[in-house]
Amino acid sequence: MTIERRQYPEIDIDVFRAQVHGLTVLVVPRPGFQRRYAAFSTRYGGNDLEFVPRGGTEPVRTPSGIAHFLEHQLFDRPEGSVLQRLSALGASPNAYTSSTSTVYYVSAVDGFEQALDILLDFVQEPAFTEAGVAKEQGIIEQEIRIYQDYPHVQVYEDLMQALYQAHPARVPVIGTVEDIRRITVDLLNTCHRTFYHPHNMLLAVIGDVDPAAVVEQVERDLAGRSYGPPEPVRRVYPDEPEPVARPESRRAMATAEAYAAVGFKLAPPVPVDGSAPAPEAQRRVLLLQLALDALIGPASAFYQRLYDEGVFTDAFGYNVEVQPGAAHVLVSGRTNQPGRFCEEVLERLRSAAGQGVDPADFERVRRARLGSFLSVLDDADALNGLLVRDRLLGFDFLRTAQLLRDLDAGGAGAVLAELGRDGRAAVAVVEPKEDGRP
Amino acid sequence: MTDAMGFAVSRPAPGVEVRVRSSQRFHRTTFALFIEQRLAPDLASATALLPRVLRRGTASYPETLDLERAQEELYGASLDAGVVKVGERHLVMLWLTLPAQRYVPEPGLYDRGLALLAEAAARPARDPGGGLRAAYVGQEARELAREIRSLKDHKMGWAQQRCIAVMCAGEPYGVPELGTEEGVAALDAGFLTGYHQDLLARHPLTLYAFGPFDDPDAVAGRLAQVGAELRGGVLVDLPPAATDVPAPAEPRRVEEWEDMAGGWLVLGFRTGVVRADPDYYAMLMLSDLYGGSTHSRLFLKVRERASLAYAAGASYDASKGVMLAVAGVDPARRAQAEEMMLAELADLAAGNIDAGEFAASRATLMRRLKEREDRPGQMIMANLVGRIGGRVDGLEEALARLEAVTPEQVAAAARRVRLDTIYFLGGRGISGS
Repeated sequence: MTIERRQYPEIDIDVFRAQVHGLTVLVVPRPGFQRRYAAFSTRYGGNDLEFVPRGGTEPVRTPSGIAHFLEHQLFDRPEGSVLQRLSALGASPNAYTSSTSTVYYVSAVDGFEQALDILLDFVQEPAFTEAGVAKEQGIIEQEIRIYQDYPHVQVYEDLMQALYQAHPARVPVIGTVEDIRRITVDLLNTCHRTFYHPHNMLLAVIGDVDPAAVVEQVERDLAGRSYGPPEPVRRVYPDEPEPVARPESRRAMATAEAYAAVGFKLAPPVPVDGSAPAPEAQRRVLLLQLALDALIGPASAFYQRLYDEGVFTDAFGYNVEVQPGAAHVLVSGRTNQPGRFCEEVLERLRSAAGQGVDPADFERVRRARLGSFLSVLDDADALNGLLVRDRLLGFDFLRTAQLLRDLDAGGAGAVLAELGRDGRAAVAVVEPKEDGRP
Repeated sequence: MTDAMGFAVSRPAPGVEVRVRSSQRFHRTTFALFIEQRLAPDLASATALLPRVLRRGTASYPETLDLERAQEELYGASLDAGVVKVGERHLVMLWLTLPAQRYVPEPGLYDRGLALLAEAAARPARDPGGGLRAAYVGQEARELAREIRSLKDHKMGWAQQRCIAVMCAGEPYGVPELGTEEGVAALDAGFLTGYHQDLLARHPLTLYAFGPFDDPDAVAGRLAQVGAELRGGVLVDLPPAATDVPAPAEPRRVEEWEDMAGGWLVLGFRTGVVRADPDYYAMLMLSDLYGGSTHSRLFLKVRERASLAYAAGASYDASKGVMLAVAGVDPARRAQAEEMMLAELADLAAGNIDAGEFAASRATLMRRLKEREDRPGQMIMANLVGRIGGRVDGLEEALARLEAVTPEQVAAAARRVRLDTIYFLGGRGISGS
């Protein structure tokens, strides 16, 4: 087994990588840390609604929410829930589903090897049953209703539907109650067979471990399983027109304060078929994040002015979100004036598209980004989340420090130009119901 | 001296403590400063507002924009300010985290960071008349009031807070951590200026550092200097939390209805067991067996087997001896959920604890203790909370004590638990969609 070692001397981190029966294994040794952490991920998320099943020829269309539903159901085993087996070791298991991936993870101090064996096994060996599906439908329906009570979740979902006309980024990962009811054992098995093949998956291990021992353990596990030959996953994505679906979305609900979100649609840096992005793509995304830090971050005059007026609050954030075939800038927060929140952010970013970023501001936010990157390295959860997210997009999160060294304000100005294009922005607002303040 | 958790302790002035621990494995360094106050209805809003104002500007960086920029210049130093409720104490806290010096090209990062922290605590931005800047006080009062209002948007947390308020009405513990909207509205810059002076001069103050230090003694020396400069007057005496309050003979029952889709049931219990109690580790085990993990009764029985709840769990606050059990349930099935939740606790009290679940809870608590060593912020909080509660155990001692707990002791601990309050926050229907 060849284990490739990649060094990041500027941050004292080494990453070991191996291909084990098609599965990519990444190990990040962290000597001296108590916690050992393993995450088993598949490139399968809320967006992957239509695809050609493995071994088939015709595409099938699956109900929204099925990737997340499958994630819940994999924990159910005839012998009881996997959660209990892991928990019995003292290990802490969990999982999450995003638009583009499903990640199962476990952290342990003692008994890590056993926990890793269980993780590898349950993710690869589904045991879906009619009874299990019926019970899960009840649980997820309640989960959907709980989300409906959260204004920050609603404003995000509304914005996605305003930004995208066809791309499944517009569909909530959790799905709808109606769609969840259409999920069957057969459908779950089809999804699992198609997307949970080692070639479509990634195992990351972080902690005080020996990379060779981890790779050997994974090798032992996979050697005993029979997968067919690798077959590229054929996802069917509708064409997404460049303009937004609609420039504005509004709703009233029982909330103490209004929430607003502003989105700018970008040319997707990662192709919709999930193939490797252009070599410059990661650098461009990072530049755009730095440009946002400089323009609207907490150390910008813009942010402080609007904070002083109550338009921005502590609950304010922004990000560049990238998925295969979709990308956008997201700015969102709680506000006393949702209309002004949206206008000010739109105006600020549109005008910056012509003016660029001040070099002194850029230098400062570059330092700050380096600091926040370094702090992630001490937190296995956060590190894993970003490592996996970037890896599945074809990026390398650990290169961040290196990339940061070579960026400048001119580059940030160039990537900002994209925000000046017409018809790419949308806003969403959730306002308190007049009669129903909680 | 070094305490049980490995922090080197010094006391440079009356009521001032400095605690420093070093470990080379980290990429980031954490400093923290705590000032202790009692939790009280007439003080809570001011205690909650003060750190927000301190965070807005200092003598050297009176404008927030400049203070923010100073942090970015220090390679993303992060100055955070807030309050925390520990039993019946209310603490103002300031945190400063910085990258480890070795990854940054400029020397002197820690000294510059500490100077910023000390200034934020003791030399805030002032108006020409010497008071705290009225504009900042006004804006932060507005923001704090909004934060208090929007607590209601996080339904589970809101239901838990309401349960505590009902159960501990009239006790300091029932006072909300962020104060109240009315309390905040009554504050002004003049009052807050005096309050700040009094807190600094007369209240217990602790400075922490945990990071990859080459010379921890030098860091401790610098912190001692900061602490000594802050100290001015005679130390106040803060009372310990009242931890032996009995539950009523008949549990209090409160239901509140709002425009929301789901429902949250919260059971409030008095355990009578605090950190310094001999039954502390048994009570920790009980709360985990009952609702702390995915192998726990509430999760397994109420959520998984009966599909009664999307979320179900229990939490134990050893600083007051209070335990809450919470479940997200369909309002129509709340009675069934309540019955089931109480039955599981009774079952544990009857000693029906199987070896598997017992071993799982023990292994889980041991893992959490060990993992905490990887998290400087958690270690600092654990040390602080332990000191206030009268018990600081090192990792080895805590593991040994957990190892020694028997199922009989857990059942006995469960028999000390008394139901005090049954609170339900329910939805009348789905809104907005």
